[in-house]
Amino acid sequence: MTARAREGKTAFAFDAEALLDKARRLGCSEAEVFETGVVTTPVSFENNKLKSVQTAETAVAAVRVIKDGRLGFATSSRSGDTEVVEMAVRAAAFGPEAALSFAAPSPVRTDLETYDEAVVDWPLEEMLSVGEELTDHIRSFEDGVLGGATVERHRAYVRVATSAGQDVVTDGTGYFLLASGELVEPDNMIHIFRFKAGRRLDFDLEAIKSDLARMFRHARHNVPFRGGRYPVVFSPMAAMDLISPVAACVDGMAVVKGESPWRDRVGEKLFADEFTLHDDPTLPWGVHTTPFDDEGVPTRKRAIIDRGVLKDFLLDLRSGKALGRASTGNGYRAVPQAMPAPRASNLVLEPGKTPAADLVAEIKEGLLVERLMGAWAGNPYAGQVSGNVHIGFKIENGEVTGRVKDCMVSVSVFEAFKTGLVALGRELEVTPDGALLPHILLDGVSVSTKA
Amino acid sequence: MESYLKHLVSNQPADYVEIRVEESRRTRIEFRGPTLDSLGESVDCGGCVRALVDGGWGFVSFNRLEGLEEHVALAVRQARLAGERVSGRSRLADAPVIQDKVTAELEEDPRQVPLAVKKDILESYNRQVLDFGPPIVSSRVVYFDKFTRLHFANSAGTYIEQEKLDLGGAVVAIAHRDGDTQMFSRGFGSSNTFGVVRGFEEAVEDACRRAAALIEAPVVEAGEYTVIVDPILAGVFVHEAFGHLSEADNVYENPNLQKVMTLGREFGGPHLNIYDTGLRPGVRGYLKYDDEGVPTQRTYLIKEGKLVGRLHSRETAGKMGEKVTGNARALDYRFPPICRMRTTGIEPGEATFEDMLKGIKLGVYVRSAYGGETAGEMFTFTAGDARMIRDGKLAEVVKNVTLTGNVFQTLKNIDMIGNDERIRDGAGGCGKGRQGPLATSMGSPHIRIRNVVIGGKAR
Repeated sequence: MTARAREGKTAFAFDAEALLDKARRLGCSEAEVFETGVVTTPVSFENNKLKSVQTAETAVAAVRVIKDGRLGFATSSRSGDTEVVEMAVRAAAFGPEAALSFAAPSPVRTDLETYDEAVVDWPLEEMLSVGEELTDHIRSFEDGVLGGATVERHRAYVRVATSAGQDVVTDGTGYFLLASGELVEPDNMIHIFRFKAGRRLDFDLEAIKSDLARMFRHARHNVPFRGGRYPVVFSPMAAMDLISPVAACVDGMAVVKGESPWRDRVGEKLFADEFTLHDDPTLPWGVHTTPFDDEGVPTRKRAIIDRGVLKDFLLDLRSGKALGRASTGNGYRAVPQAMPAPRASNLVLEPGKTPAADLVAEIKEGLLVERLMGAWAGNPYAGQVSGNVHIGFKIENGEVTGRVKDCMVSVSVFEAFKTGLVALGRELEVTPDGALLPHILLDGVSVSTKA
Repeated sequence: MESYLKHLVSNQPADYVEIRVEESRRTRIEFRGPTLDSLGESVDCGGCVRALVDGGWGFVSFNRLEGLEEHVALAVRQARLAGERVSGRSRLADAPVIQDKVTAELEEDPRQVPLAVKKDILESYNRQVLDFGPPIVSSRVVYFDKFTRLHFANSAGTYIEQEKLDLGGAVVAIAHRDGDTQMFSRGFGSSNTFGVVRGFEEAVEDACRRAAALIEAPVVEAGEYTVIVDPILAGVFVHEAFGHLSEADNVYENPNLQKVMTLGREFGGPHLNIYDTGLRPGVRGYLKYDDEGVPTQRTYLIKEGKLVGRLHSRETAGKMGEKVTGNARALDYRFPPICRMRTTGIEPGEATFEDMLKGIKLGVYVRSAYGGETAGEMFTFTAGDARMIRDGKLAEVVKNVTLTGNVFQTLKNIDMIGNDERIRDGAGGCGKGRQGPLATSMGSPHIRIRNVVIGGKAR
């Protein structure tokens, strides 16, 4: 990489050229070096007051080699380490057959919006003020309410270099905001929170504050709810539990392994017309926006489901090769120490036309679910999502009337997106996974409560 | 290293300073279906400094071990910044000043087991699953071992070097028929031997049989039941639902929760005893010193039905006027220590399994855990598999069994505690905040609980 690209940015902790060179000398036919470095500065408020100011700086190198047709993998966080290559070579002796070739030289976009100097320069004092404002606001709801907040800024780089000559680097910035309120009563605990994340400081503090206030007001009183089938509005955060099975079924490795039921269904209409899901790594200031994936393959925006029709899978180098195709640029590492696997970048569900508030207004009797708990425990390939309502409210005649507890929601997602999808909200929100989703209104959702 | 680290944390303009330096090596092997998915080694090397000034904490973590003085200075500066804002007082509970070097006492050291042997053993389990035949269609086998050398020094004069082994894994059998996928997992784990990985054939066979049985099984009918909970799921329940509530960092600055969690309050019958211990050798939750350099102990949380203790860091114990318990743990050098569990369980009672079955007209025997989550007083767990109990006898296998409820109510509804006990270890661990998976163990005898809500068939 050219020196110019590093101007004013974090210096590399590892010497990728030297690592590639060492792999060559040790008899590897191919090699790949992935390096990422992150500096994170979080300030945390707990129980209405500032608790800590932190700085975490970390850099990790992950090396993959192919030797005698086998794949070896190793990682290191020891700055400047080169032993990581020997470790990868050692692993290759017992490794899986290398059914892939590392990325070949290929130009990547340099115009994507991922780095904002204003985040790097965000003064600590201002971050502390944001946290203070949030916790002061939350504690003002009522005596005994405890406010908490995390305000964080980070900057990171990712570099991928291969023996075939690909060498790309990207820099990113980001912030993370989490504000929560807690009220404990002898037999009732109320916990509410809001979350925001982005690549530049685009949050609206007043909007977060009013969302928190509204959620607390709704959660303050419990109301009874009878089991049955109801229309249910899922907030973007809860909607992610419904989208997860879709993401799992288009995972190229699940397709290769025969776990996904959709292997032979590309081109089929699976869902209602309103359902369009993109993987968009080019999204301006998207949390997962990147010009190349963690294997150095250039990325581009692609439709996963277009007006209900299954368009394609998410492929990394390995799953692509197994299906006789090229990678779609979806090889990502869950953590730097993990091997790349197919994954979405920014998942974007096309919004509808109805403001989220109006979705609620149209319901005579039903639920607004803000967050489910335990919903991930189902079998994603069967599309079964079943979870306890952690934060959820009863809707009567278009109005939220109180909180429902001890209540389970079950959705057959694949069926629901085909025949139960009533409407999608107009506003998109970032979920903790970094997806951009609207509110989703489903009809006929099974709700069970304590007898 | 010793004198350098001691020097770094002494005479700093702070109420308290500690430093940790850590190096670990990790091996990971994973099979997914017939192919070896990954096999790799990693080295992790780094450190952190934590400082306390006027009740405010500063924390700095890093990989580069050069320039430690600057890291210490930055942590102290950050602590001062936080301390100025809270204008509080630093209060840490007393802890003994320790000088110790702990070497891992291993039965079979995984570092001495060649990678080829590890791979062969796991491959044989993987093959065993795949050779089981229909309806078993796929497998997953994961294994990891991690060996850590940890140096700890604080401004009170404590200096500890600890070696730690953490090892775990699981074999998963995946069954599929007519659009239905079911799986069953058997796990293993240890803090002192690779031996737990050997001789696992029977457990693998069990996982296959149970996954296959689930394919045949009907979905449980939702409703309220008397349930018998096996030691694995009971361990998960006590960890998730009660252990987390006992972590003092949730309680110490929360007056309302303190009222709920008042020592002496009755949470269950006189047969109920719940503990957390760092002293049980061999299990993943074993630990001699926590990450504040405090010796661990066996702590009763509930004794004869009454709340008697909680899990403390030095800060939470100091603020609540209680004694340290050695429960301040950090996932690794990237994180400050927070209140965490080690090995948590229910102590055995007197009931036999037959006693428990007696008198249950219609109930469910829930076994093993697929997953779980808690929020405040609410919990949800999914059982690995389950059998109906009809007229005091075990009957057919049922699937998709999810238990949900209120922890306080549920503890009160425990009416029988078994005389058997098992400690569970597996591939996973405990998550809290962003720190997970942390090595913990859980254990219990069989227990019987009245009036548990089971969500199953979508009605």
